[in-house]
Amino acid sequence: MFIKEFEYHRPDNLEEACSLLAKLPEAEVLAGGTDLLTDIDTGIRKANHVVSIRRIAELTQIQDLGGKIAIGAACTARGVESSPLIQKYFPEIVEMIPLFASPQVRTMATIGGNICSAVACGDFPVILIALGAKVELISLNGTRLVQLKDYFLANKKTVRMKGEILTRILIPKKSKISASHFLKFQRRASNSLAVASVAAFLDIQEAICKEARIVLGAVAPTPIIAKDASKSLLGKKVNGQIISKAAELARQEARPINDVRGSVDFRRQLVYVLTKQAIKQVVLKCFP
Amino acid sequence: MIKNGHNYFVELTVNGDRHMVLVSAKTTLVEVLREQLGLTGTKLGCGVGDCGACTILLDGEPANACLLLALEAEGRDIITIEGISTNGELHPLQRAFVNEGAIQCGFCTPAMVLTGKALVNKNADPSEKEVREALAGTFCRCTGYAKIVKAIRNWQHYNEMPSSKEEGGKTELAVVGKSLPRKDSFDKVTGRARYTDDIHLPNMLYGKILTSPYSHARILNIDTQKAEVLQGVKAILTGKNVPDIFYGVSPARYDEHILAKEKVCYVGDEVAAVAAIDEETCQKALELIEVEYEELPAVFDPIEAMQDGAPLILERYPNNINTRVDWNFGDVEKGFKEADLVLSDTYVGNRTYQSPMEPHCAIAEWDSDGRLKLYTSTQVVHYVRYQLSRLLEMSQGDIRVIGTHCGGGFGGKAEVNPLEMCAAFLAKKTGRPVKMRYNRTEMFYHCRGRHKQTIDMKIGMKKDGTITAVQQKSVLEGGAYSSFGVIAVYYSGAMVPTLYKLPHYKYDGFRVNTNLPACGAMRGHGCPHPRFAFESLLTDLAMRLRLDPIEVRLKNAMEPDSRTVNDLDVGSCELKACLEEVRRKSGWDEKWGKLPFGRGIGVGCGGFVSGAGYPIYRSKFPHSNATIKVSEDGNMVILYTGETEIGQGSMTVLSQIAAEAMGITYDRIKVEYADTDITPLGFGSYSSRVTLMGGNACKMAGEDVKQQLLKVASQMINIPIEQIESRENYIYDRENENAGIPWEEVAARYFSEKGPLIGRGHYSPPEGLGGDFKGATVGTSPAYSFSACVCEVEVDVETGKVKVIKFTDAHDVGTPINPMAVEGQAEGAIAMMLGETLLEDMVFDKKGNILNPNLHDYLLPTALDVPPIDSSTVESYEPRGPFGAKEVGEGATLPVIGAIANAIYDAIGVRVKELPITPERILQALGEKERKECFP
Repeated sequence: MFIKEFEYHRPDNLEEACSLLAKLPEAEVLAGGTDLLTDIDTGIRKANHVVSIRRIAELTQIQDLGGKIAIGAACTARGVESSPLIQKYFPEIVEMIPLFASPQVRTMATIGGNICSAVACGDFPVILIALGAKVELISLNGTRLVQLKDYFLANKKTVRMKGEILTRILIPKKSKISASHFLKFQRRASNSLAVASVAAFLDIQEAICKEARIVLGAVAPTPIIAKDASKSLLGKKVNGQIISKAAELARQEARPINDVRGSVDFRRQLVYVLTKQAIKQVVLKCFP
Repeated sequence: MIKNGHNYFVELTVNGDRHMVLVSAKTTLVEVLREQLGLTGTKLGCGVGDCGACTILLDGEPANACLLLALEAEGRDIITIEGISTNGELHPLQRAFVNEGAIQCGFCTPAMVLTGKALVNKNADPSEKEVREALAGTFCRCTGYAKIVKAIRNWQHYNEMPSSKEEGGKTELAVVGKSLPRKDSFDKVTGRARYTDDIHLPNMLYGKILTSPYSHARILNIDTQKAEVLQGVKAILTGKNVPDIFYGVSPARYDEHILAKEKVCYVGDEVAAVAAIDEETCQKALELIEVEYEELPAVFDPIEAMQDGAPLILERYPNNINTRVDWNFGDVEKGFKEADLVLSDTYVGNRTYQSPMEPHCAIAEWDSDGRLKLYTSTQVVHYVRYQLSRLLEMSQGDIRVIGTHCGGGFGGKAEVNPLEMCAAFLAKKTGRPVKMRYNRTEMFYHCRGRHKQTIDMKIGMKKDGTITAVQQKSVLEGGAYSSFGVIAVYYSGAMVPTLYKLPHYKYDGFRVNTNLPACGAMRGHGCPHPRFAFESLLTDLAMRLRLDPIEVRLKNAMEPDSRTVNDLDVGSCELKACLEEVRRKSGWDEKWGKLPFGRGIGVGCGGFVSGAGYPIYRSKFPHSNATIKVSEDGNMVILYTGETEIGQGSMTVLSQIAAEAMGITYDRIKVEYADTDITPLGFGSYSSRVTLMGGNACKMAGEDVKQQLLKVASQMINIPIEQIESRENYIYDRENENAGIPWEEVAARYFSEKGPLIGRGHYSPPEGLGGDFKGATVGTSPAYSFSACVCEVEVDVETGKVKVIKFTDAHDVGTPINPMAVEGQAEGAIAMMLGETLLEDMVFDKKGNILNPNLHDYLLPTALDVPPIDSSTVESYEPRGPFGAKEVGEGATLPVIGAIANAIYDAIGVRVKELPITPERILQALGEKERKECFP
């Protein structure tokens, strides 16, 4: 790699990090670095300054806040996978981790980094949106919370403003009768990028679906909620016919492109199949 | 971390030692480990976190050292491969790798050991699945992962030092036929093995090549002024400064200049080269070189390229037809008339790349006496030297080419490459050593992958399954230059009649130039795509005639001591035994045609030459040569061979052969190879030639030593020479084994009386191999391997995804010299071809740029993609081979595509005739079938 020279900063606390980001031109936040370094190398991202946040203790913690769990943005995929809190409350995230990148990358790559990279084929955002996660953004001007579903604007573009750090991901705990499931289609068995991915979240009370979110990955510039598909499940008894109808709607809502990983038609077909399978898995989880 | 100007002092803890190093902000950990701390066991394979070769343990977990800034590593516990063994004693896991045959080229070995170590630290007895999941971030291109998985699972068996694996009872041979650990395994499992990029010479410069951004363009002007004045730049070469001498592979097709002289013919064509103090300065200099191009119309499709009026790429090839083959053996029309069923179809192959885990690298250095020394990662030191001597216009004797450890080749390192040539010229111009290496992207542009073939195949068959005639047309998309293309297009036809008895065969071959990177030689050279076509169509015929595909193959299988319709002499041949073996072991009779929809089983056959019968350029030199030097005390023997070790285990096999021939044990022989000053001429590792040809030369050299010793021994123990035998370091009376004398005593006596004890051996293939038609030399060989493979798959008809469940394969490799190494070759071949069948494909945009020149979109199989492989050999003996041995490395690749394709067909009833067989293509084929059924 012939990375352009940059200056390295390693603040000890969040305040310092925020003020560095506020004042330095073309500054990038460095967490795991697995995306950032390759992006700087290929010129996708320009950085005169790199601010490392890995040493900021509060960003690597996973906490139980009562109604929700807060995951520090600098937690690695491996750290998330091995967290007892995540294992207890969000086994679907733990199930997703082996599908994410390679074992080596999982040692370094962070949950916040995967969100901030904002690539269409990212894995974490898909399951997190399904779970109704919010992200916390902190800058010298204060703190704000953004629904993760509203966080992405376009490929590699987000609502995060200059000087802001994504600090925590807040996920509401599910009710006992809700569940979610993530599925990813990759060309080989491991260590590859999603051709399409789907996460489904359903809250089913007395056999009726009260809340549903079908999230699609790698089939639009950002992860998207398949709104019609999600809506079609509400108030329904989730049976095979309803599932097929939702999957068909999701297929139509996908906005994929042709590239070396797959064609538009193929990706739509994957959305259909994965949606169907994901909802079935959720139903199985709700009524084991 | 202390800031020092633009740089930083940082303390790193590596293998328990603390090192203060000076780095810049962007310095990665892998650079510090390799270049500052000299810990070169950590390898650089892609630089972007795809391949896993740079794996280290970071606080106990595997991580990519190429994606970690050195500054970010401060305060963390870093373990490299050098930190795994203690005081020279291997960790049990390392011993498992050595003894289970988990090492081949060795380039991924450090990463595999470290990932395995992290796993067993947490879980001492991991399951097969857990091991494969842990390994999924590190590619191995050689082993097929099978033996690596086995080594990690069995590591606890090696807590004690293993006793030597002596099987009970005295076998006929003492060393040959045993699964002995590799000669280089200790170095490779500890990270000590030095590959070219691990060598750092004093005062060394680096070099890089500027390449064309256009697929076809005239060079109007090159302005190097700005680059020349850049601080740190030492020399720049363009087409004007290199000799006007064409190079290439086959003398009739030398058509490349070291750097483009007038025009460029593909995106990536070499335009200029720079030497500077480091690679980054080289890169900056390349960006400052101003090249004025006039873009020319380009052509990328071989069929279009052959049309009148298509852009002409090289004037010497009218209609861009680089090579045309027109073979007609027997009378195909007559044969088709005799058939009860004639089927024909068109099959399309894929452009695939060898992708050895080690990128190419070369270091050139000129001595004060005007001689060139070149370290390089190559399969063919001799051919590199030959081409350099032509280009530099100096005698071969003034050039020393040293093949270092080589991290895989598969054909991609079988010809001289631009790094070797440019490094030689830049080193000459600067008077300093120059190192040049490719990054992974450059590998894809320059590695000369497999020709994509479009094949029309037609087969006639009688009701009883007898093949009556075969007709084939192959069009090979060749890219801009010839490389090995002329040989590939002949091979595409030559090997088709070797597996089955074909009474009539017609072949039309076209190797066509296009404005894409040139294609060259890749494992199985020219044969996998026609074999895919043939094996697919053969199964189709069997199905139409309601015959068992294995029965049809048995019916037509080649017999020993046959002459094929295209005049190739087949000696030993146990294809039938291979078929019977896989039928039995795979449960074929219970499964074929009986599995539920979505599950399928398929069979394919293959085979290859055991070395090309003729050299690449005309010479009378023996193809393989060996010398043996016995130490004065007789306790150590050094074998010298000009062949190369690229991971396949040649040096182990050659050592076993020579040791057996001399009557010494394996521990007493050491091998020096691939150094043109020290080792005698050897053509190197291509066309699967080393075991048979190199083996015969080494056997002869060993017998030469033995004969010299027996004479002395005969006098020492007073027994007639005819009655003496030498075995396992002991020379004795065959009729009374107690009357004997240690081998080393005889050798020491020899030295005392006659001076150095030297053995010499050489091998040339039998004269007059092949017919006398044009191109008859291609496909000739002293012996042929045969193999059969059964594959079982599961196809998800909703997504088109294929899951390969199991391979069962059997090989006629003659008598194996080292059964464990043979298995390793077969397993690796299967994994590679699984990738080529289902995953791998080079994709270009409309301007000739590669869209996936990286290892995240060019998909190599991971440990999780490769299923269990049940590999075996059948009993066979090849009289022309050393101790009965033949090749395995390439033949083992050939049955695989057909086996998978046929299994998919069995599973879902539709055939995909284009490679790779992707989920999309499967869905398309299923969709077409559905449409046809609805609207017949």
